[in-house]
Amino acid sequence: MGDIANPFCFGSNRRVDHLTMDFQKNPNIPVLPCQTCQMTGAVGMKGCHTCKGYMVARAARDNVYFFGMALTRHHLALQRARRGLYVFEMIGALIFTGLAFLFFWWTTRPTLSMATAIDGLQYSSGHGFFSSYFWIEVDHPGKAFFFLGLLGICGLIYRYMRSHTAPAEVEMRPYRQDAVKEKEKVLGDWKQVKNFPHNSQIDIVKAYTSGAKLSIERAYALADAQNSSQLQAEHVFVALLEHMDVKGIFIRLGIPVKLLSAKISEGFVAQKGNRAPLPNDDVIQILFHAYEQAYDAREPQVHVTELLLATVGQSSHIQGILYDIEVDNEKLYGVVEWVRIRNKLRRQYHATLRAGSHVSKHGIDKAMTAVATPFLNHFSTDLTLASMYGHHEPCVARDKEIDEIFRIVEAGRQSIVLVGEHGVGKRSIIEGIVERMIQDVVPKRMQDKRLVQISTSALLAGTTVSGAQERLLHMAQEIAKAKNIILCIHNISDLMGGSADAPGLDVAGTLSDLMRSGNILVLATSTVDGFNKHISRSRLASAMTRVNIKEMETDQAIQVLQAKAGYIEYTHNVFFSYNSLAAAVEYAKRFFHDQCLPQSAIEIISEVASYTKNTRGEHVLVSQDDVARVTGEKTGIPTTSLTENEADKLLHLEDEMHKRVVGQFEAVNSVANALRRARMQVRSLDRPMANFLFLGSTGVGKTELAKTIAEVYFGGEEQMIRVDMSEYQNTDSIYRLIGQPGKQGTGLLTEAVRQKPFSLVLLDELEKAHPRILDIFLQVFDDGRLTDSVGRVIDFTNTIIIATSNAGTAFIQSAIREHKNMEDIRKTLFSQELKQHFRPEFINRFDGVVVFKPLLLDDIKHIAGIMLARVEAELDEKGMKFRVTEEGLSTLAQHGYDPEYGARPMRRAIQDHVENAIAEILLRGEASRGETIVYDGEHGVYVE
Amino acid sequence: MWILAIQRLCFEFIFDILFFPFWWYSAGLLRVVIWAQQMIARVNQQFAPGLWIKNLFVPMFGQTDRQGRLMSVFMRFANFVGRSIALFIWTVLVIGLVLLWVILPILFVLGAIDALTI
Repeated sequence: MGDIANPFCFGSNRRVDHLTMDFQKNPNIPVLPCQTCQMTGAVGMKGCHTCKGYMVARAARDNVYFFGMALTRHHLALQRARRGLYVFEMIGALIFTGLAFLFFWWTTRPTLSMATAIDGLQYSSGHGFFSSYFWIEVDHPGKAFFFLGLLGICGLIYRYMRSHTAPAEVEMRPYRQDAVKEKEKVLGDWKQVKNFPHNSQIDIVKAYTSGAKLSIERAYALADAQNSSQLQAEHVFVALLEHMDVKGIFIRLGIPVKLLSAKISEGFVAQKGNRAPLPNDDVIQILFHAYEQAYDAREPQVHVTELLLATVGQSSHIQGILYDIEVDNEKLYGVVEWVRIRNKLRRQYHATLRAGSHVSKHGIDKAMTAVATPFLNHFSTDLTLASMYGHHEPCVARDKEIDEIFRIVEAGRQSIVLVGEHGVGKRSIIEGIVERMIQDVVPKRMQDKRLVQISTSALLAGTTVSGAQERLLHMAQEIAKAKNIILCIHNISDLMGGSADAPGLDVAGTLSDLMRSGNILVLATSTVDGFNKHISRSRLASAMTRVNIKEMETDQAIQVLQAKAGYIEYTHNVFFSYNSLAAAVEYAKRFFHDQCLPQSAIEIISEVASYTKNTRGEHVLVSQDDVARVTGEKTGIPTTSLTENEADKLLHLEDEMHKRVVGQFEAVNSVANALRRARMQVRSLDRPMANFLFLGSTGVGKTELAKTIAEVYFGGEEQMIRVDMSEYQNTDSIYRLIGQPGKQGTGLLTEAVRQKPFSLVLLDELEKAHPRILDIFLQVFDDGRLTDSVGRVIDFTNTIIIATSNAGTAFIQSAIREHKNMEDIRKTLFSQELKQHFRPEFINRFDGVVVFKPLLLDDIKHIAGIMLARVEAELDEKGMKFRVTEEGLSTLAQHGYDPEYGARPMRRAIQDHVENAIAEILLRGEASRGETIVYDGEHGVYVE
Repeated sequence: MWILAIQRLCFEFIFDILFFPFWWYSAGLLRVVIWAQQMIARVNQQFAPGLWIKNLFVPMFGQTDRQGRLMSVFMRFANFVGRSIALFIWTVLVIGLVLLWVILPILFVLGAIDALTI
């Protein structure tokens, strides 16, 4: 089969050495410039005898390459004038032809009338211009004008065909030699060049498109206008910015072209004098590198895109400017690949339509050996026919998998099952195969065949299992007879798993018999779960070859979005920036674990397009922030760029938290730092945002701090998932956490996190849980994921996990009482106390173990103030004011202070001494609106 | 420099006119021949008479019984003949167009000369 994949080769086969953020300088190509003519191709008025007009050459791949367009003022002016001359000649030929016919009519008018009359008498045929008598008998010099007019038409054809010659093609880079980097050859002198055979001397300018050549001319004109002595890379870049395709690239990157052009032009220094510029070394390198770019990407011509990449790769100055405006290597290559993909899809679409015109629309092969399949047609869809009418979407970045399938078919195996999760693109691969079948670039066994997809619902509709099996057998007979059918079964596992007395169908036996008979080639798809459950242990497994379809990598998924974006743009009348597509893929990968790439990302961009149209109107550029906003709304995870207010809030997070949490500076600082790191994404993305173990006696503020984080960072206490670990004291309770085996949605923890991936998980009283239960958190802390009872992977990477524990409380309290150093307390805790409850590897998994200090009297006083603020707010709603004196606070603190129980007694103290009294005052009607209720400790509560 | 360019352009203009007949019977003719080849190949792919003769004894539409086979041979032969004729006509037409490319300019020149030499 050889290089069957060639016409469909999309970006996945490209070399990947440019997928880095930093721009890379082009490697130096050793060139041989002509010193005699200074690369102008002429010495004085004559052509250069040394280089014979080659000017600059390089040797590679057994060829010698030269750029046959002289970059001089004279030649480029001539080139411009030549285009004018072509137009002049066309118009001239048109006028000449018109005049010739006009003269012919003018001079032969009387003769024609006479000839018509005679013709009527003698020949009885012809009339006017078509008079036979005129053309045969009459000698009239005016006839010469007619023939000259016809020659004028020939002249028009000549002029048109000569000026519309397709550019030559860049040589095709051989497939399966990607790894081989050829060594550059160095040319010593021009004699070596002449030794190359004529067909190995390649003029690369012939492979340049007219747009690319025009950009070089513009660059020269720009350098000339600047009186620059050199044509520089920057001139080429600015000239390229005038081309529509390049403008489009920078628009997709969200960069205003005018601004960029102005920024680059700042570096131009106008010089005095009238010296004609000559291309500098960088430009020479650019011209050859542009050709290499096209060669590497297997582009048939050197477009402006290749010239752009070569120019950026050559100039550090341009790279610096682009980097400053947030355009990096990856983005630039990404957008250029986008342009290429669109061009290739267009070419491929036309090729498919053209090839489709030769394929039968009635399901019969060319030799008409096939048999009609009316029964099969009733239960199926002809994918080949659908594709011929353009009903299929393009298959991108799946060449490797398709090649693998073709290899299996060539090897003689009968059937193939594509196994992959939902949304990985199994159907797209099938459509890619159909497209190649139409173009006949498939193994011989698949040529001149049609791919027919069985509808499982139609097969099962209104029948029993045995009825469906009978239908299937009937179809199989038709297929075997027809001999031009390849069967496609999506989700083949849907046809398995049933039995005679259970719903569903089990046709594994029937299908495997059919496949083994050798009459049917089946292409099936299945999910991993479906394959494992229903196929792997059935007879089908041995009859089919499994091809694993993995989830796409980020750059492949971006290519798919680029291929699909056109349709979505057309539907919603908005335009995607490159950043928006890249962000969609990134967010899909990070936040939407239920679906695979690229399907998850396609759904995001569809939604974002609709959102952008509704919020900002049509004809706007969809930005990364639009994608972030939609993702944020769907998941609740803050993904948008940081606003000034939010940045300020994050910088003063500690102050915000201390409004609720008194003291505990170490804990608050650790948490605030973790939140700042998480928001600015300065963290490992495959672990939870942070996981802390809070140690301390009851009432010191551990849970309160967790609630504060939920309030401040996650947007409310309802975003906190609280798991009371004292309920998990035996090993069986693990199923309450992750779900009953086989029952979906029964895990308290997994389901809560699946519903709210952006949340705070509070594991309260951790030490009370069974040690085996704690083991499942090792994986959560390490990898940020937990598999539930039905095999779904739950993502914990957007959660903060806080575990609280009273372990070692007695020790902490006694140590504090003995005024021991905090660091010593911590060391003893780790080495002795905690080991009684947790294993060392478990403790090690926490980002921080924070010891909460017992509260002091002053802290309690402060807490009383915070608690009373709530009472104040409640009275405020009733139109009354509330005041507490300093003495009142001290009295409350004395009532509510208990070093062993922390702030908990304070709640009771406030209830007993303040709230009860206020309730009595209100019941007695002693306070009315506008009055102030005071608590001063000595006199209790009274109305002022 | 402009004078040089204009001089060159004038030369090219004259060259273009003089080159017309040479181009017509060299590069132009080559392009027309290639186009004709492609047109014939495309229609050959469409009608595919070779495929019909290759499958002359293969029963059509899976009719493997004796009558079916016999009828198939006749049908295939008839198809082969019909398709070959269609392809032949098409080929003749396309070759005719190539010949017109060759002959017409000569005819036009001769016609003009003939008209002028009364």
